[in-house]
Order: sequence, then structure tokens, then C-alpha cells
Amino acid sequence: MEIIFKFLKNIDRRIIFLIIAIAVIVTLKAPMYLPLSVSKNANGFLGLLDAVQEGDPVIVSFDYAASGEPELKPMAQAILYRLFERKARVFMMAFWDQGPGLADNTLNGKGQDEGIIKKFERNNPGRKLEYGKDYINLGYKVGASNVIIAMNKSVMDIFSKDNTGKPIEEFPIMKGVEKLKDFKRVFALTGGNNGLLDIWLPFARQQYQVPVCGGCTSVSAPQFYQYMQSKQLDGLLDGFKTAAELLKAIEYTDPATGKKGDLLSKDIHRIADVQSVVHIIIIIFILIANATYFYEKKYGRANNQ
Amino acid sequence: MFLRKTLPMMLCFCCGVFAMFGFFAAEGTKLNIYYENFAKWLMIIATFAMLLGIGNLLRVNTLKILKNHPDKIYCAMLLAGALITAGFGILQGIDKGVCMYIFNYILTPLQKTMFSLLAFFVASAAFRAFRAKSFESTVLLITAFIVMLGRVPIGTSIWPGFASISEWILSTVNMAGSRAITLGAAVGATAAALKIILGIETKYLGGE
Repeated sequence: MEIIFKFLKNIDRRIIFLIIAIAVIVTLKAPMYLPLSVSKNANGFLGLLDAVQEGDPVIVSFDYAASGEPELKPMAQAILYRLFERKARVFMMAFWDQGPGLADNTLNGKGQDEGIIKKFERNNPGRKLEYGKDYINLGYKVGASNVIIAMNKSVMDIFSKDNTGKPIEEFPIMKGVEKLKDFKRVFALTGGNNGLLDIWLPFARQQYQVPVCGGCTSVSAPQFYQYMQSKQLDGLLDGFKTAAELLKAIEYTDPATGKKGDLLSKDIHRIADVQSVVHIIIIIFILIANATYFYEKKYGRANNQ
Repeated sequence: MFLRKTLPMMLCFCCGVFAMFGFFAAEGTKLNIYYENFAKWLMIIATFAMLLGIGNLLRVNTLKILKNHPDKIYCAMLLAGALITAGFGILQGIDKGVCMYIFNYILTPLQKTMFSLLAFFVASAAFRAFRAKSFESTVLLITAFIVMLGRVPIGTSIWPGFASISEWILSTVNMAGSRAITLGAAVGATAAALKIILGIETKYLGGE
């Protein structure tokens, strides 16, 4: 018994890494597709998306880098898809330099990912999304909160050109959009500083009363709940699980088969499984560590006496 | 002395007071209009600060290579990466061509890999450090288990209660602590800002 506890106590970290790696690979290859129930947060967020009316101008801010993409991209997919369904006018922008590129990838896809536009147009045969009319990518702006303050004076002054360098006043999407207050809602996806917490909430929401909701990574979620309780933040997607739930909550009818489906893809469901398995392994390791600690505390002392 | 210390302090005081009152000024008032114009100046300054940062990055790394620093290979990699990406971005545009290729197939996978390594390090660190040594650490441990299980699908498959307890912990217990920390930090930041505006704190000028 002592040998086992001694081995477990001094387990090499490379063994831990190996176990995690094997668990991830096995789960990806043989997923369990554990059931996902739609939580209160995901349901509330869907309600906010459904409150957007046809023609409403809304901002979707991509304030994250590629490192946050696995958690935040599913949120962006769900938000953009539902906004297109609602026929909103979607303005994408970013306070992070990688944001505009990640926004383009979410829309148009990359590699095996077909992108949200293709998926939307396939599920809605009568509709063709048009750049500059249904959506626009305004690109990245440096200056953080000052951008928000200046946007309230004139959006076109700050974003004179879109991400491809074309003057934005040429696009029909700009009709009736002059200042920040003209936007009905902001959906801010944030991977850290320079985003929802320190730009959109204190300036867009507090100073200019533009409704703000958003999404964040699981690790940063605890600092956002206080703003939910004070109702400064209308809705929050607090990590990958809620994002997957929102995708599950967005249903569509396949025009080819007439069958009902949801946006939750098998790839995303698989990642949810991986997250579950890794959490369980971490818990098991903590339990092992504590078992060895208590064993040593009890018998180690007895042996010393 | 005047140019190095007094003038920057005067500018800092004027800008600080103006920004403070401008923030609270009612919309449409002259002060508020000036404040919104002021934000545009700050954006221009921020853009130049970014250029300054790039310039400094190039200078520091070039000097390291020239001085045969042990890390010169990394400096060369950094310079090559920065110059190639920026060069193709300027020549071909940032949303297409080689710049986008670098972004999609080099930067994005690298960043995702770095972030994914967290899972391995968290597992190892939790194994080494998470011990129920006292009452407080036992409470922390139990809370961590509940939250970890409540935030993944397997937790709700084991027992649906994990999700609701986890939600309560995050939105009530965690929120109370988080709000206290936020308020404390905000008061501290306000005090620090006031010290700078009033010229009590002058370290930003490079002095003692």
C-alpha cells in the first residue's frame, strides 16, 4: 500500500500530461455526445437576440485573439446566425487587431468549416446575404474607450473605411446610422482586456445607454456576474458550455429534408465532451493527491513515532 | 526644468480635470462636445504610440542581433515575422494574400496551441498544490469540484443539481467577493489617478 501511495505522490508531471493527451485524443475519436440542456443564461441570451427587430443596426464586436477562438467562435456563430434570421443590420468591429480576420473566418469559413453565411443561406434558400447591406466589417480601431466616445459624435468620422478599404458611406447598411446611440444593441465577445468589461460596459452602456450583452471565456467569467446582477449587462455567455447551449437552442428546418435541426455541430459537441473528460481527470488527480496527503499525514506520523 | 517637469505636469492636470468633468457633462453641452473631440485626439496619439512601440521593438531587437546577444536567433525570428507580415500586409492588403495566410495558418494555430497547453498545466498544478490542509482549503476544494462539474455537460449528466449549485456559487458567493475586489481596485485607481493629476505622483516623468 505504501509503495502505491509513494508512487502516486511522486507521479511525474509528464505522466499527467500523457494521460490528458490520451484522454483528449480518445474522446475526439470516440465522442460520447453527452446531452446538453439549455441553461437560463443561454435562454436569456436567445431572448435578447430575438428582441432585435428587422432592420435594427447592431454591433458585434470581436475583441479576442485566436487563442480565445475555440470558446468565442461558437458564440459568434450563434449570434450572427440569429441576427441574420432576424434581418438585423450587423456591424462587425474589433478592439483587438486579430478581430476583423476572425470575424471574416466566422462568416466565410476556413478549411473544413463552411462559415456561417453558407450555412445560413443553405437553411434559408430564399435569402442571400449581401455585404454592405446585411452586414459589414468595420475593422480594427486603436484607442479603446476613446473610439466609443468619438463614435457617439460620428461613426463615419471614426470608421471612414471598412476593413477592405472602401468608404463606408457607399454602403446601404449605413442608412440612418450616424452615432453610437443609433445602434439598438452591442454584442461584445471578449477574450480579456480591451473589450466588454473595460470599454463597452463603462462607456457604451453607462455613458451612452446603449444596451450591451456579450460573451467571455470561462476563465474570465467570474468577474462579469456582478454586472449581470446590476443589470448593466443584459446577457452573458460565460464560456464554451453556454455557447454550445445557445447553438443547441437555435433551431432550423432543413429545406432539403424538412427535418428539424439545430446549430450545434458534431465538432462543437465533441469539444464539449473533451472539456467534460478533462475536468473529470483533473478532479481525479486532485482526489489522488489528497488521498496521498492524508495517508502520509496519518501513517507517516505513526512511522516517525 | 520647466520643459521636463512643470509643463508636462500642467498638461497632465489640465487634461485630467477636463476629461473628468467632460465624462460627467450632459450631452450636447459645450464641455461634452469638446470632450468628444478630445477623444479623437487621443486616438491619434494612441496610433502614434503604436508606431513608437513598433519602432522600439525593431530597435531593441536589431541592437541585440548586432551585439551578438545569446537570444539573437529569437530576435531575428521576431524581426523576420514582423517585417514579412507587415510588408505583405502593406503590399497586398491585410485581408488577403500572404498576410492572411500567415494569420490563418501560422499565427492562429500557434496561439490556439499555446492556450490549449493550459489544460495540461492546470492538471499538473492542481495535482501538486490543491490539498485540503485546512478548513478554508477544504471549502475551496469542494467549491472547485462543484463548479468544475457544473460547468461541463458530464456534471449535469451525473446530477442535474451540479449546474444550479454552480450557478448559485458563481452568481452569489463569487459575485460578492468579486464586487468587493472591483470596488477596492476602483477606489485605488481613482486615488492613484488623482495623485497623478494633482502632481503628487510624478514617477511617470521618469523622476524619483
